[in-house]
Amino acid sequence: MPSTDAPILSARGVRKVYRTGAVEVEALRGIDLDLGAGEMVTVMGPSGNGKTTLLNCLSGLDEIDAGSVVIDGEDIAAMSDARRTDHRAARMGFIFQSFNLIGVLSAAENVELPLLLAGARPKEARGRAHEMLTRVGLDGRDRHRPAELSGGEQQRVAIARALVSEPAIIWADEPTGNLDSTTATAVLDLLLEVHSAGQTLVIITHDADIGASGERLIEVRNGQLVYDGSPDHAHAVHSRD
Amino acid sequence: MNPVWVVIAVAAIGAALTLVDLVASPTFRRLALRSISRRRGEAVLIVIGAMFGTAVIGAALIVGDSFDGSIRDVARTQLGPIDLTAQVRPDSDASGAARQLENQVAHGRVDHVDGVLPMVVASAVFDNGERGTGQRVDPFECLAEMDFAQARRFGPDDIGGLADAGPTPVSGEAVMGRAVADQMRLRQGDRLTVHLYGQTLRLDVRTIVPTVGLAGYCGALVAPGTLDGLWSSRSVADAGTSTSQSPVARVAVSLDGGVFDSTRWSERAEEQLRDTLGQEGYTDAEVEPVKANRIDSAERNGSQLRSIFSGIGGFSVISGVLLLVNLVIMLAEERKVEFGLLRAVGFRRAHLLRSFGLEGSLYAIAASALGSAVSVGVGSLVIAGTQKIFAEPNSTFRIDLFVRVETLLLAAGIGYAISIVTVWLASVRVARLNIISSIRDLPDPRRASRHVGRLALAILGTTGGIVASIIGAENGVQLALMSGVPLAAFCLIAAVSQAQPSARLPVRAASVVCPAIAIVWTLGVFTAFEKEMEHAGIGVFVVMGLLLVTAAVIIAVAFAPLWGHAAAARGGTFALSCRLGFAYPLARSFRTGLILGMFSLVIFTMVFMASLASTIDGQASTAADELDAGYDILVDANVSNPVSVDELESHAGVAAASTFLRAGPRFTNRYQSEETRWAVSGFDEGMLRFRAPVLGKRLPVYADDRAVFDAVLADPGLIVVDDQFLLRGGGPKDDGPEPGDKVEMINPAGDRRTLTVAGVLKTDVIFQGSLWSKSAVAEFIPDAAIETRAFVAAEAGSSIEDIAAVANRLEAATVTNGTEVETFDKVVADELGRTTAFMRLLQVYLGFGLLIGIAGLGVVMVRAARERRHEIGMLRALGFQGRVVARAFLIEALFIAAGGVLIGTTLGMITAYQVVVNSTAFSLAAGSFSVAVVPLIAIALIPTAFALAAAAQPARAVGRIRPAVALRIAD
Repeated sequence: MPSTDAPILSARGVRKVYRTGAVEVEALRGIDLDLGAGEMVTVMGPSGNGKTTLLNCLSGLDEIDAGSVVIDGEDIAAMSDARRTDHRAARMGFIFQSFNLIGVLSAAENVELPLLLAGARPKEARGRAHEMLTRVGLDGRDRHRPAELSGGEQQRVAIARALVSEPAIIWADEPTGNLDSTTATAVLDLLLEVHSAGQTLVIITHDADIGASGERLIEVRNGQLVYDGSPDHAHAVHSRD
Repeated sequence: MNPVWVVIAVAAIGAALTLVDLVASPTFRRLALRSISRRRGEAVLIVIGAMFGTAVIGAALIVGDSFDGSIRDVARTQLGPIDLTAQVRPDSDASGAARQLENQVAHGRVDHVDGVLPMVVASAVFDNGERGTGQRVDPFECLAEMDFAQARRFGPDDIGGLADAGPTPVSGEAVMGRAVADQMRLRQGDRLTVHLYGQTLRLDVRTIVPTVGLAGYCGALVAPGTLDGLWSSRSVADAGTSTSQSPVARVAVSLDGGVFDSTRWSERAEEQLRDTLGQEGYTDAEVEPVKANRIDSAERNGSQLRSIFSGIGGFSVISGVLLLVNLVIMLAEERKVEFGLLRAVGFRRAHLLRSFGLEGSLYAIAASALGSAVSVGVGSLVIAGTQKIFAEPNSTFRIDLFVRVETLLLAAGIGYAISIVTVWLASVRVARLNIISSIRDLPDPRRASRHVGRLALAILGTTGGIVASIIGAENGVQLALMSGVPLAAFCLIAAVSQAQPSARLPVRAASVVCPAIAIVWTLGVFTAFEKEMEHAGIGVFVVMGLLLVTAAVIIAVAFAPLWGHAAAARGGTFALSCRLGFAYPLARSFRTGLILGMFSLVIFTMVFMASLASTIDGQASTAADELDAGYDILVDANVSNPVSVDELESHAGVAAASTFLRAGPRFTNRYQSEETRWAVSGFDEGMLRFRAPVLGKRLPVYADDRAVFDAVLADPGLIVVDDQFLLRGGGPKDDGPEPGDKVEMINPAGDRRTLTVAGVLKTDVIFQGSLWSKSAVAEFIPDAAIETRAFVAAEAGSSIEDIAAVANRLEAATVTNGTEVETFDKVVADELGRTTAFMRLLQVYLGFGLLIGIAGLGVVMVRAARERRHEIGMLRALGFQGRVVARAFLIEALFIAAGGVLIGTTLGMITAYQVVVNSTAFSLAAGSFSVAVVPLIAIALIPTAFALAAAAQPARAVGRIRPAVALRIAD
């Protein structure tokens, strides 16, 4: 799905510093980035260079030390924690490498959480959770708890949870990192299917194939964007470097 | 084997293993110490949580020691060198009789005697001579005559107490011990007024000496011949008084040794002394091993209080154990990955157990040391409370705090042993982890196959429980009868769970049905097996409470998903918080059961005590009606100056009076083979003028209570006994008097009379003891029985205030008779008030258990916040506001606290009701159960509020968790 002209997210001069005692580590060094609505962006880079920090800061999971992150015309960096949390609930979905399901809730209960948070009636939320689980290939697994599911199934539940409230932006941090190659392919296909429905998808990955599967590739090194463009040209740029 | 030695052995083994692992196992040491230092705050919380158990145990031991020590100390302050006494009551010349006795004892064959001291003793009323607020009267004091020079030879100065007493007092002089002098507000040179034999004697206080030994034996020591003189002039001076008790000719016998070590010769010396006096014709001589009796009494009382406080504290200790198990499991789950890796790299299960056990042992050592220190403070608070409750207006006895190093070490040892065994057992569970699922941080795989050994054990437990109940029913073993079936029901749950490991429904059904059977059986056993469960002691009801709480907690956990479904059926963020708040306790039923059980147990005990106290409070007026025989006022007088019926009836406002001939013979019966002193009150038709005292039980041949008393008057072979007859120390018991029992009464001369119990008094808070016909008492105990007690009726139509005024006037008018005059209502209210105050003191003591519950909940929530950090991060990432997550935490704490309150309150009231209806332990009237509304509301609300307060901090903390940090997703 091609992006529209107006960016759904616009980050300017984003700076993030981690402080441990007297030691300061600048994880992001003045990032400028626009994400278009419906774009599928993959983020690559070596470990420890700021990819996940970039996701945290752009999604509002973490606070930034300088700059702005404007989503839907509002700077989420300037919002209170409560407003930023509401904004996240309304506009974003998350998929993590380690699934991060709530272990004491069933698959359906995990998936319906964002809907209940948005004020949906419990019955309606359960129905939509069931639909979404069916869509991700987990029909009949509604009542299973995470521990009773395989890694691939758990990630499908996480994807269902991220999609169920139809957020504008889905952030996926190494979504296939804990999965075998077959399951990883199935999960990636699912994400691509999501993207084809028009939602903005940002995937952080180490996997070059996933990196190449997006419409746009961003490469982060030492807290800076060193490449932002078509995945097709990335290899040529790296070669020139 | 003495259980204390078992505990000490366990503690010693634990400490030795800890020491060995600390010194010789660097890996275990490193793991344990670093785990502790990594989370110091939580380590402190664990130590504090585990500390309360030791504090409660230590306080119980200290209370026992203090009572024991204080009563034993009386041997030093009031007896000194005196080990035995032998006495007779001559009609005249008591001094001569005492010297004769001395001669017989000194030349008799009694081993280990190192001194004999003749003395003459009489009971007397002390008055400091002042009037108004400065007046001090002690109606039950004593005067003694002895030769000081001989007394100093009788006992060494340091224990005799007369070193600085000067010469033997001359006529008109008194030497007093400091304690009584202070109580009477008398100083050296002041004048002491004494009343006895209808006469008044004024004595100059010549010397006041420390209250030690002979100086504390009687309130005042007077000139030889004083008492004989007063007694001989009595016939002229005592008009208007009843027959009083003559001066006692007594010899004090000192045995080899100091104050306490001489008692080892007592028993033999007592026998020899009896033989010696018997051979010399002293058939009515009373021989008493006074010091050994005092020390026995000290040990019995100390032991009884130790048992009461240990028993009540046991609930707190169990709560502490449940908390500790919970904490160990939480710690283990948090380190599951670490443990899995250790197992993967070559740690055996035993290594894991030792490593984790070492860490637990270090917590336990710190907790037991701290708890032992805290127990001193708790013990002193309890002692202060007890002193206040039981303080007698005219008693110099005080309960002092006795803290012995051995006691503190024992408390620390017991606390440590309980903690280390708990840690070891929990560590065994930890060590059995599945390596793969631990490394991957997944729940242990559910077993599909049966574990034959466990299944067999569960079936064995089920069968054993049923057999225990059958045997208990056949042999009248109440605990076995009551607890067998419930234990079988609990084992059946385990059996179903082992037989159907992969099926949830049968296990859930068993988890509801089996505890329900346990509850129905436990409550119904009292009616189904009425005879077998009669005289159930308080211990039975404690076990009953434990069984009920266990069953209720299992049902609550099994039914808990309904709460989750109820929450899930509602919308909105509050329902979301509820759903999350219920989700964790429901998903971890074992841990939830532990913490719910911990809270329920404490609330149960507090409600139980509050309900009993409330019921006892409510019985004051009923109890007075049951024992007063229609009279209004109780009069007790000094044996040396009793008041006659004529004198009592001559006072304004008095309509009638009836006196009792009182004595303290020895008794034996079917459950008390040791000769035990018990009061006998001789009554006549006068007592029955209005109505008979109410009997709890009577021989079926008598139509009503009155008929029983008429029969006792007519037949000297019949007697009525009180409901606590020959039950030493009172309180809880497993046996009691029954109509038809045979009792043997032994008079001072050693004559025996076998009597049949015709009836048992329903209540006897005025300590009548046993009721026999006055003529029979006069005939069987001719010299020792004196009319010191009277029932007085106010004029018809008198109001409560009028009756109180009559009582006050009577007491003022008969002060020289050493009377204590009270309305029955007040006597009963005061006596029951002491019982309820003591129960409230026990409730305060139980408050430490509540602290464990509240602190435990706080600690568990703190640990839960850490354990769920990742999930909370995810919830926050999804858009859950911090307050929603925090509220979920509070709802979780509320679920536990409110669940505990509900279970504990309901079962506590049911158990208290059963005690009231079925037990004679507290002499409560069946059907008089009353609900303690205000205390119950306080017990329900205060712990809940504190539990929420304890959970508030971790709830706030989780509300502030930053999602990115919690998810640990930073690069």
